Amino acid sequence: MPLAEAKGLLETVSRSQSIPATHPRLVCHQPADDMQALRELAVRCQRFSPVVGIEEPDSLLFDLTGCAHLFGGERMLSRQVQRSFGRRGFFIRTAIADTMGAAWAVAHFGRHQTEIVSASQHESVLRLLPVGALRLAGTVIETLAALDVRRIEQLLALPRASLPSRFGPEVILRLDQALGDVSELITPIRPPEPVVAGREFEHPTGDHRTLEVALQQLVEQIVSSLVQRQQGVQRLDVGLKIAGEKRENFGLQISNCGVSAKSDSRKSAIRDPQSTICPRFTINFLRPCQSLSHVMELVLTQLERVVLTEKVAGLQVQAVATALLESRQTQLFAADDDPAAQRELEQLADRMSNRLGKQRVVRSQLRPDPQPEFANRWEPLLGENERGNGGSVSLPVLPCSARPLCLQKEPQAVEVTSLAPAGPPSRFHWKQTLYAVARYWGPERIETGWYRGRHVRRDYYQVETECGLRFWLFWRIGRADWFLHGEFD
Amino acid sequence: MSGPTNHSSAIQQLTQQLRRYERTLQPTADGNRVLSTGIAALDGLLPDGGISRGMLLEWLSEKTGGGAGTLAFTVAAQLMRADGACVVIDPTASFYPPAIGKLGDHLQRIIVVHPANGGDALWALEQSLRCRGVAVVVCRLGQAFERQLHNHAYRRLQLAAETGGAIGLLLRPARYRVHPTWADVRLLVEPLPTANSSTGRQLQVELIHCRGRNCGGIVKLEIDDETGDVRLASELAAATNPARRAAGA
Repeated sequence: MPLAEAKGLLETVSRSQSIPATHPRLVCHQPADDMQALRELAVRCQRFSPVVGIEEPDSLLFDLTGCAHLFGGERMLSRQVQRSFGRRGFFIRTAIADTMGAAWAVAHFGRHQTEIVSASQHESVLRLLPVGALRLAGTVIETLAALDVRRIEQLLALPRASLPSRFGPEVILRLDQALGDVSELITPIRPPEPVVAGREFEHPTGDHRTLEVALQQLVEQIVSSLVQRQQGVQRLDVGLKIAGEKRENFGLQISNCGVSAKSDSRKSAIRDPQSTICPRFTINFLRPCQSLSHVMELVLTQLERVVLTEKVAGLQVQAVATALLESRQTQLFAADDDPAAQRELEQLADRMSNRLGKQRVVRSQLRPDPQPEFANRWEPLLGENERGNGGSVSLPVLPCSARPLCLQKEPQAVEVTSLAPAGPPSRFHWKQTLYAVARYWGPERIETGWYRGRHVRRDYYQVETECGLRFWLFWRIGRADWFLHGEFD
Repeated sequence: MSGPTNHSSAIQQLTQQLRRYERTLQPTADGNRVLSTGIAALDGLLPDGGISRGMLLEWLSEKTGGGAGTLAFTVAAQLMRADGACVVIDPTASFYPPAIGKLGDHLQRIIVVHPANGGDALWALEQSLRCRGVAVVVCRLGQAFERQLHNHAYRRLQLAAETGGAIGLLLRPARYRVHPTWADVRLLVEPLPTANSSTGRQLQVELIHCRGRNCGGIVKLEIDDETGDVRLASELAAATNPARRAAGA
């Protein structure tokens, strides 16, 4: 039974960055997230083999019995797997061998990135590998190392009968599994069954009240099936089938990019450009949700924004993304004593993000960038980082001088009079008013941005007008023009 | 026989009773205790010596750049210290968090909403005020927003705040001082030219409207440029300034 084994390593450092503004993002290691990602990869790899399992923490196991010839042989199959993972940014090692244990051993400890072990070489290849290739516990490997048993051939040379009493029963089992004396089965990872509920109307209707009642029933079905699985919905798609169109026009959108595009623009959320006859909308949740009332509230909020030009012949609701309810343990904001208030806050975030668009409900991430425009980054509250919320490590922010409370989206050109060339401003025009500068602080020179392709050289002044208003002006060095960048409100 | 003491105590009792009738706040879990703004001088200006849950406060200023926003965020930071989150509704998308970077961890508890139009802004404001997990809502009422904020809408905001218990800090242009309001307190913030001896910017805060209490109090505050602390502006410091004394002589 030929087996393929692939060891995947997520590319952690994409490229060396020597510039301060593009620090690599530091994220705490989340073993549960890694496992989830591995399971998702296993599901995607079912195009290569019907039975794909995982071996913790980082391996995928394919049962290639009767599969290799479909890809032109084992070598071609191995290349295709390499290419497929390479396109997604993974560096992997693959090995094909007669047993799962041997494939794992060669993938982790073999000399080449891709290896195929034929049946005749099976034992000879294994004998030369270190004992760590047998998937043994760390303590057993240490004990063997203390006895200078470092390679599998040394282990095989020891009396077999004495091994269990000296090193535990695991050693014999792993040896037999690697050599094929004991069979080992792959537990396949199956994609979760989609949680879908649909309904066709006998007579098409345009009545919102009827749609609401029908949607309520469908959402109830979805929630009850999620309750059985002890899961909560994270993303829900609702599709409306227009009368006279084919059933395919439900066309629920599942891809991540599609969902984010829909959330950004409310118009496209209601009417997708590719199927203008089929209104549908997506609802995102900050936390996995099982609450029928909360889900219905968000569904109705979206439904009331749908403009129906034709009658609806059917409805379909699908929980596109679900997660176990354990994720509820993480809170939007830590250290809050009242769980009811916390829940309300999360529901508020859901409501606002779904109605206004998730790019409009955000949280600030301060960046250690000297250029004011890049010192703050808005991160959607209901974003891709929701799973690792609280896990990202914030980078130290450079201490900076006073910054204005209101920053213009773009620096606004202003007419400034200075007493000395390149000196501090004495008068300036802003919003049809002439302000005389009574005091100023500065200049604070900011020279940066060369690595972004646009060199920024500015002298910033904090000025106070005669009436006490404070503004943030800068002079562009070398260009001799002035801009107003913010107001110290 | 009723002496002047009895008269004054009776008036005090009646005033308190009247205030109770005027405020229809639902009792909250913490008994609707009065929260300090963190600025003693401002507490003295406000009714009951601070801010109660479910109150709406308007901060009026002639122009942006006058310091009303800084003052409002200083108060918001203090109110967040107790518990809950802060929601900033900013239709103009001009709010710049590095200005309040010194709040540190509190910055992570601020949700910023950038509504596309006045209707959405009003909806987000009402929803936030109604939420029990929100301690304070800061909203800069832009031009588009003001058109939506008619009498009924404002009343809805007040009821939402009373239901949820969030405190609303609304930044508005001073030209709205003649318009009727449902806010509990209306403060006019005017910048003062910085004195030579001063270490920070000076503001004058006037209580121009207060439900159930006489208004008209004025305080002068100083925001320290270095630390951001707000304190009562010292009048004596200016008098000892040698330059000014020489000019006055």
